[in-house]
Amino acid sequence: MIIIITEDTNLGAKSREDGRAFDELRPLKIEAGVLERADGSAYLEFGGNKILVAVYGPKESHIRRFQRPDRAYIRCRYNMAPFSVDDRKRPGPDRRSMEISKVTAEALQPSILLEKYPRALIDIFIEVLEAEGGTRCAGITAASVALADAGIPMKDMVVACASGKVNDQIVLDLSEVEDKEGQADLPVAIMPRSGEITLLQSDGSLNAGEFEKAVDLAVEGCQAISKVQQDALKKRYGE
Amino acid sequence: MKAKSGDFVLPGDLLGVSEEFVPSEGAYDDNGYIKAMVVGTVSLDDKNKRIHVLPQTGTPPVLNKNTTIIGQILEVRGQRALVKIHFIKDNPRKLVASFVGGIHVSQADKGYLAKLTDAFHIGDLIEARITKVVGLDNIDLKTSHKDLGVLKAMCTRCRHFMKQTGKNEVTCPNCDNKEKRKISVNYQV
Repeated sequence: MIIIITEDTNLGAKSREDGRAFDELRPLKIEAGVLERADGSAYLEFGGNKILVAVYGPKESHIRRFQRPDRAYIRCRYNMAPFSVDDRKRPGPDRRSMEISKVTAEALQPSILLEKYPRALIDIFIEVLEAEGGTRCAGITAASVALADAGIPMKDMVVACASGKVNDQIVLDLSEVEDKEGQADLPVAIMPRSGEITLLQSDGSLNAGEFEKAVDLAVEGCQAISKVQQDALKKRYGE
Repeated sequence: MKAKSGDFVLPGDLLGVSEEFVPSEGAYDDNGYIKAMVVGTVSLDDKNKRIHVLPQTGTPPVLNKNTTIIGQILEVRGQRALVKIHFIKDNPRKLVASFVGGIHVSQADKGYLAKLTDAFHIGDLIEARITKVVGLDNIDLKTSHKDLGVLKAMCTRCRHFMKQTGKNEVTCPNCDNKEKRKISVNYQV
């Protein structure tokens, strides 16, 4: 379990439904290189989320529209298994998964040195085996580890974490219930060394002060998750 | 200087500054700071002032001089045979792009070869070594070694895979057609 120690400015604030503090992440576990036949892979457990990511490539793109003369192209597929949620999810792509696939590819893109592989294609498959809120952030975090595991040249490992507003309080890492019943959700992806934000989405209503506080909290969460990412690769390839 | 030889680094880790070293493989220059771009161990070349990261993970295959490849003959024209490069030998990972190489008649066999069709035909699977790489589509290959040459030949009459019946001869088990090839010692029966 990761606990971020910050100045307690919320004395007397109610704790959350699952008993976590407002700035506490769910238990996190990342494992690199779990699939034998993929070029790179990672498995992540984040609270009730279980996510498997496979990376293939860079490889020759047989589809012309995925070829770029000066750089590689990232194709990402985010997919939720039919058994990943309480109600059966209808298999196949839908509006939500297509949007997440797009924003994930765009969040990872700034970290990869794509210009090293002109005309090539990098395939990223994100399979959500169990979902409990925050799967897009968990998917980005795991995909970054899988890309490093595939030996693809990167400037940094992108890490993502969400913050939001629940019961008029800014909280870190929303669970499924908080995501549905909360007032706002703010997924953020960053390159932790430079602090550059590669993804910022916002759903719900936040005023300027709350927004700033939520972004700061999400960035703090990202920095903590980044350490787990690094440990996963150190464990796999040894120091 | 931040990193030293043997240090384990991750993408984005600071290795040094560009006043001290020149980034080599596995490292890049980010506004004067040299950083790692792969997971691996640092290797410093103090003599040439180069810093590179030896990857610990699998890496995308790169075609270099003296790399042995597995390919297929696309075309045999006059002095040159064109080869579609499929894989690097003993590396199952796919190549990053479509590469086509060429074998000049002088590089096909050790001795004199009157015509290239005595060594290769369209569709043959071959093992060859890279002698020169200039860009994506200008790769020179050679097969003038006993472990290089045709691995599996196809009959030009019926496209059946052929059996080796002599040092430089293959016979089609389907139509008894006999043809010449530059055969590798690793020829697959």
